[in-house]
Amino acid sequence: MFTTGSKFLIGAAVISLVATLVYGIGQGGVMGTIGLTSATVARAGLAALNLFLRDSNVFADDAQLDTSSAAQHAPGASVWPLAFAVGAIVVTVGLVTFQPIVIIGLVLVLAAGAEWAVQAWSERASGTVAHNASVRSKLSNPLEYPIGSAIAIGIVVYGFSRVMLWLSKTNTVIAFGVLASIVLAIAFVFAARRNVGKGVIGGALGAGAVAIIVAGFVTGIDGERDIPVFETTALWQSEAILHPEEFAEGTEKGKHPAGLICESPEEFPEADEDASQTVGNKSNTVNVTLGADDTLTYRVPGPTASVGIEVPTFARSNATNVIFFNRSDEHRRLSVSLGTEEVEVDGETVTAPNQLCTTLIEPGAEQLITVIARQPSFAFDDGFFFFVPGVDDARLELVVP
Amino acid sequence: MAIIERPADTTTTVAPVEEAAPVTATSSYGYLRRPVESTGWRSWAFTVDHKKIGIMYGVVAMFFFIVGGLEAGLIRLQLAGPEGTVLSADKYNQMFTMHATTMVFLFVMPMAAAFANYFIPLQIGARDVAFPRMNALSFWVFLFGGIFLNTSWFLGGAADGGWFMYAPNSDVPFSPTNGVDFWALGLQITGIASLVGAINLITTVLNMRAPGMSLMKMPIFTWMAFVTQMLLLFAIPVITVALFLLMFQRSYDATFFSVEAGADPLLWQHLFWIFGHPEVYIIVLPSFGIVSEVLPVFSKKPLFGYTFVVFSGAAIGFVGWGVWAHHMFASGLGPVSVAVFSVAPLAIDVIFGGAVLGLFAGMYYWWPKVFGKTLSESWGKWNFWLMIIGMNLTFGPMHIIGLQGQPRRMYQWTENRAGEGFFNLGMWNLVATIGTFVLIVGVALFFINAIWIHRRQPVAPLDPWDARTLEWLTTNPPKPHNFDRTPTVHALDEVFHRKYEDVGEGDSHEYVQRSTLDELVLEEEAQADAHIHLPAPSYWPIVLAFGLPIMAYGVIYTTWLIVLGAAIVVAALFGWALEPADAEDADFDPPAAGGESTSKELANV
Amino acid sequence: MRDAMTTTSVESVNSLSTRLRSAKVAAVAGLGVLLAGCAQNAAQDTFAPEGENAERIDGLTRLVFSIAGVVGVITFSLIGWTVWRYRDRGQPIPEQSEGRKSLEIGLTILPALILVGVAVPTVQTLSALNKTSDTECVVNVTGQQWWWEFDYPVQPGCLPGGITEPIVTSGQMVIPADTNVLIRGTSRDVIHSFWIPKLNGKRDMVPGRVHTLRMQANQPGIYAGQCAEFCGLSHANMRMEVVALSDAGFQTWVDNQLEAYTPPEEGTLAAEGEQTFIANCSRCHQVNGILDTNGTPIVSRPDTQVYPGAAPNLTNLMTRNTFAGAMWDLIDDQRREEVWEASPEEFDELYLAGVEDEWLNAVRLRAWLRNSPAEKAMYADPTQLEPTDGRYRGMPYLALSEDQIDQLIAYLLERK
Repeated sequence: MFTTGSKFLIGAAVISLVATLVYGIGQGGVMGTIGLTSATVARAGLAALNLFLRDSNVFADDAQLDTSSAAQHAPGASVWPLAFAVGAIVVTVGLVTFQPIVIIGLVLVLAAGAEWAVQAWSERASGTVAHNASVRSKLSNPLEYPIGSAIAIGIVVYGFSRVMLWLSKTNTVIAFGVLASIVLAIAFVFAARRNVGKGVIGGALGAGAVAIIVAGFVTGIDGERDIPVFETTALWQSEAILHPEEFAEGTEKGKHPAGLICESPEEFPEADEDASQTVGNKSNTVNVTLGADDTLTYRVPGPTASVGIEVPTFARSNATNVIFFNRSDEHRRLSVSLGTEEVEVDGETVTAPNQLCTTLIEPGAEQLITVIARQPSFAFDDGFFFFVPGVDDARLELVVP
Repeated sequence: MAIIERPADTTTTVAPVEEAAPVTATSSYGYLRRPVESTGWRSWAFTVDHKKIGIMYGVVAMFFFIVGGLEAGLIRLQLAGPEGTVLSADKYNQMFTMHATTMVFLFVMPMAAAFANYFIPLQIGARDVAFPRMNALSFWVFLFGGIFLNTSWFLGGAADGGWFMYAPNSDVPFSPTNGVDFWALGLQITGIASLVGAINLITTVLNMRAPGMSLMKMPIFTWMAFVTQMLLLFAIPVITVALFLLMFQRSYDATFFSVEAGADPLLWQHLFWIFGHPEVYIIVLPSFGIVSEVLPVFSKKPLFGYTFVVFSGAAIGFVGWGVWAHHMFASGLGPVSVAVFSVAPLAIDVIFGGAVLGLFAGMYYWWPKVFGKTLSESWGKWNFWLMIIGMNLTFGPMHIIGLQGQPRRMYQWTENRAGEGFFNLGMWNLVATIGTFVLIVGVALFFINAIWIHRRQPVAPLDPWDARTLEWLTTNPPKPHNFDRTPTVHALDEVFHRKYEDVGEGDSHEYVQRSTLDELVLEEEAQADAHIHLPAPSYWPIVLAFGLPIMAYGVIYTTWLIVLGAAIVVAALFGWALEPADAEDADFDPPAAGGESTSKELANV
Repeated sequence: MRDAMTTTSVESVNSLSTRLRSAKVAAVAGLGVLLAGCAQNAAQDTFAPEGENAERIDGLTRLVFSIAGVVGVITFSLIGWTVWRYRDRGQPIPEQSEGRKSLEIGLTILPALILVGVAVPTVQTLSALNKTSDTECVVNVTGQQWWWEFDYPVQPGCLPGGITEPIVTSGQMVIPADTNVLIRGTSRDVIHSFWIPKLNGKRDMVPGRVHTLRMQANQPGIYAGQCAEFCGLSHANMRMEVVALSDAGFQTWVDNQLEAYTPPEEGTLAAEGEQTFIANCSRCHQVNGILDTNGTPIVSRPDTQVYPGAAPNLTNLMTRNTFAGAMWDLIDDQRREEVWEASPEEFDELYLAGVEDEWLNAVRLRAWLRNSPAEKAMYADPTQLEPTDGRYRGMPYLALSEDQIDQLIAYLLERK
C-alpha cells in the first residue's frame, strides 16, 4: 500500500515536523518556524495526494501494463531520492539558520536530481538491466568519477589540514613523519605479499581516510593553534603600537624583547632570526653603511661616486631603495625615523613614532629597506634620520624637501 | 556537406533483447546527432569543411579591417589640425588602443588564418585538416572573442592603455573602467583560437601530405604558414600567461605588477615582448609566403633559391625569439635608447606594406580558385595604386613627424611646438590624414570590386594564371572533397611539371605544354576514388565557443556567469566526445563518377 | 592557356616583393631626412642636436640613413629595371632555374656585411652614450601623471660651493650649460619616459626603479621635451624643458631658489592671495616657508589628496615660465619668442627675469585656476574616485571665484 514515492514524502514530512518542533521550541524564530511549518504541510499534503492517487503504482492490478518497459521490472533500489530529500532539507534549514549551508544543500539537490533523472531515463532505454546500466555509466561516469574523486580527495585533504593546523608546530612535523612512515610501511607490506586482495587494500585506504576525516572533524571543531604572524619588522613595529597590552604580555612571557623593534638592538623572533640575508636585485639603490667606527655614512654608488653626495635627499612619496651594509662587529639593524603619525589604538587617536627598520643582520652582511617618506622632513622638529639602535653615534640626517 | 555512408546495421555493445533500442553509430542515446543540412545558414554554422571555414575567417577579418580602419580614420581626423576636438583624450586613447588591437588580432592574424585554412590542405593534397571540428572551434572562438572585445565600447568604454598595455598603467587605479578587462579576456579567448588552429595545422602539414610530397616539395606558402603556426604554438602561451597575470591583478587583487608589493613593472614588458616579437613574424610570414607563391607564377619560373627561402623562414622562426628586448631599448635595461625609435610608425609601415599588401595580393591571386571568377583587373589597378599612394602618404609623414619630435599616442598636438616653415608638424599631420582617406578610398574600391563588380564578371577559366602548385588541380571552386583522387607528387611545383615538359637537350631548355589544366582535372575526375569519406558537420564547436565569452563576462561582472559559461563548455565537450561519427542521413547526395549514386556505402575506414 | 598570360601587367605591378619593401621604407626615410630639415625650429627636432649626446645620436642616424638610402636606391632601381626589362611580351617559358648557389650566398652575405658595418659605429655610439662616470651634478627626476618634478639633492657638485639645501621644482629643469649632469629618474605611478630630443635620447621612468641618463647642453638656452611613454589621459600634455644657464647664471638661480620666504606686504591683494592660497591650495602645493596665522610652517599633505602622493612645489613658480606640467607658458607669446629665440649670451638674463605681470599669460593661468579639469584631461571627478581610494590623479576643480583668482595671481606673481 505504501509505494516508494509516498514513503519518501511521508518521511520528508515527518522530518520536517520534527525540525519544526525542535526549531520552533528551541530557537523560536518566527520566520523559521513559518518556513518549516510550510514545508511540513506541503510535504504532508503531497504524501496524502500520493496515497490517494496510489502513486501510479505499477503493481496495481492492471494486466495491460505488462508490455511497457517500465512495468517489466521494478526499479532497483536507489539512493538518489534519499540524497535529494536530504539536500532539500539542508536547503530549508540553511535558509533559516546559516546561509552558506544553502549552497551545500543546493549542490546536493542538483547532483542528486541529475543522478536520479539519469538513472530513471537509462532504465527506460531497454528491457535489459545490464544494457541500461552500461548506458547510464557511459553517460554519467565521465562526470561522476572525476567530481566524486575530487570531492573525496578534497575532504580528506581538508581534514588533514585541520589536523595540521591544530597540532603544535613541532608536533606537525612529527605527525607528518609518522603518518608518512605508516603509509610507507603498509605499502611495503602490500608490495611484499603478492596476493593481497582488492578488498583489503580498499579497506585499508578507507580506514585511513575515515581516520583522517574524523580526526580532521574533531580538531577542526577544536580550532587552530595560536599562530602569531610576525615575519617582518614592520609587523612587530605595528603590533607594539596598535596592540600595546598584548605586546606587553608577550614581553612578560619572554616571547620577545620589550620596546619597539626599530629602537631595539635585540633580536626579535622570526623577523630577525629567519630573515633572508640575501638582497634582491634592484636598480640603482643608495647605500647606508655602518662603519667599524660606529658611524653611518651615505653613498650613491655608481657614476655619482665622484660627485660625493653625503647627505641623503629623497623626494616625497618616492619609493627609495636603501641597502644597509653592516661593517661593524656586532649584529645591528638600520632604522629610519620618519617623524610621527596619528594612529587609532582602542578607539583613541594616539601619536606614535613612524619608524621603519631592517632586520638584525650579522657583521659583514647587507639588507634592503625601501623608504617612502610621504611628508617633508621639516614638518617635524627632529626631522628625519637614519639610526642604529644601540649605537648612539650612528645617526644620519635624511632630508625630504 | 559530406558524402555520407549509411552505417552497417549492427549495434555496438550488448546483444539486444526484444525491445532493445540498438545504440547504433548514427544516433547516440537518441539525442546526440550530427547536423545534416548541406544548404542554408546551418550548413555554415555547423560546417567543419576547411574551405567554408577559411571563407568565414576571411569575411570576418575584412569586417574587422573596416572597424579598425574607421578607428584609424577617427584618429587621423583628430590629428588633422592642432588641438583637435573630434575625440576627447579618453576616447582617443581608447581609439588607438582598439585600432591596433583590432588590426593585429582581429584582422591580420585571422586573414592569414583564412589563407592557411583554405590553402594548406589543398596545397598538400589533403581533403581537410587533421582535426576538422577543432578547426570550426577556432573560427567560432575567434568570432565570439572579437565580438566580446568590441562590446566594451558599449559597456563602459574600451581599453585605453595602448595595445601593448604596459603595467602599472593597466592596473585598476590607472584604468578604472572595465575596458582593460575586456581587452585581456578578449585576447585570451582569441588566443585560444590561434593556439588550437596552430596545433591543427601543424599536425596537418606533418601528417597529411600527399604521397611523394616531402617537406622540401611543399609549396612555399605552406612552408611559411607552417613556420607561422610553430611560432604561434610557442608565442601564444606566453601572452596567455601575461594576460592571466593581468586578469588576476585587476579582477582578483593579485600583486604581480604592484610596485608597492615589490613587483617590477618590467615583468609585463618582458612577457609581452617575448610574445610580441614572434608576433610580428606571425603577422608577416604568411604574406611572405603568398608573395613567394605569386611571383613565380607570373615570372613563369620557380622561386629562386627555394631552399634558402625555406631555411630563412625557419631561421626567422628560431632567431626571432632572441631579440625581444629591442622593443625595450629605453626601458632602462642597460644600454641606451636611440632617437630614431621615436620614428615608431616604421613598424606599422612594415606591417602594412609587408603584411597587408601581401594579403591583398593573395586575394586577387586566389579569388578565381575560391569563388570561380576573377576580380576585375581595372578596378584592381585603381585599388592597388590608391592603396600604395595612400599608404605612403599616411605613414611616410609619420616618420618625419617622429623625427621632428612628436611622439606617438598623443591625442593632440599644439601649434607652438609645431615648428616654423611650411613643412612643419602641422603640414605633415594633415598630409597623413589625407593619406588615410586616400587609403580608405582604395580599400573601398576593393570591396566594390569584390562585392558588386564580381557579380558581373564572367566565370573564370580553370587556370587563369598558368599556375604551378597543387591547389590548382581542382575545380573552381574546389569540390567539397577537394581532390577526386589523392594526387601523387613527384616534384616541387607539381602542377607546372604536369603541364609542361622540358624537351631541350643538355643546357638548352624548351618547355612544351603537354596538357592543359582542364585536361588534367578531367583526368582526375575519371580516376576518382570510389569511396570518399569526409568528416561530418557538428553542433558542438559553435556551442563550446559560445560558452567562453560568457565565462569572460562572468569574470567582469558576476561569478555566476562563469559557472554558466563553464557549464556550457563542459556540456559541449561532452557532446563533442560522445556524438556519433556520422550523421544518419544527409540531404545531399552527389553523383559519383559514372552517374549512379553509389555514395551511400560503408567506407573502408 | 596563353590567354591567361596576357593579364599579367597588373600582376607584375602587384608583385612588389615584401622583402624589398624595406627599400621603399628606406627611400621614404631618406627623403624624410631631407624634408625634416625643412621644419625650422621645431622645438623637439631630432636633427638639431644641442648637446654632446644628441650630437652622437644625430651622427649615427645620418650615417645609417645614408647607407639605407643608398641601398634603397640601388634595390629600387634594380626592381624597376627588372620589371621593365622582363615584362611579358609573349616570350616562351624561360629556363626553370631554381637558384644559383653563388648568388644566394652572396645576397645573404652582402646585407650581413652591411649590417656589421653599421653595427660597429652603433655599438661605439651606444657605449659612449652609456657613459655616466664623467658627470658632475645630480638631479633627481620623478615623473608623475601628468607633470615632472625635479629635485636637486644636497651635493658638493654643480657649483663651486655645491648645493647646500635641497631644491624642489617642476616643469623646467635648470642645469649649468656645458656640464655633464646625471639624471636619476623614477616615477611615482605609471611608466613615463624622459625625452629632450635636442640633448639626448629617451629613458623610461619606471616606478620602483631608478634609471640614469646623462644630460649636457652645449650652450645656454631652453630645450623642449615631453613624456615619451604612454601614461594615460594627458600623456600628450606632459611636457618639460631643460634650461641651461651659464655658470654664473646657474649660481644666481640656485641662490634665488634657496632664498627665504618673504610673505607679501600686509593689506595688499597678494596678502589676501596668501590666505586664499593657504585655504585652497596648500593642502597639496608646498610653498617652502609659508606660515599660518600661528606662525607654524604649513606642511602640504598631497599624499592625502593625490593618489601618487605629491603635487608640484610652487615655492618659486614665477622663476619658471611654464605651468601645468609645462602644458602652457606662463609668459605671453611675445615674451616667449624673446626668451626662446634668445642668443646664448642674452639667454641668462631673459630667463632669470622670470615672469612679470606685464608679460604674464593671464588668460591661460586664470582658466587653469578657474577649472583645471576642463583645461587638461585628468582624473578629477570627485564622484568616481573609488578605484584610487578617494584620491585624485591630477588637480581637482576648486570652485574659485574671480576675486579669489585675482588674489591668487597677485600672490603667485610674488613667488620668485
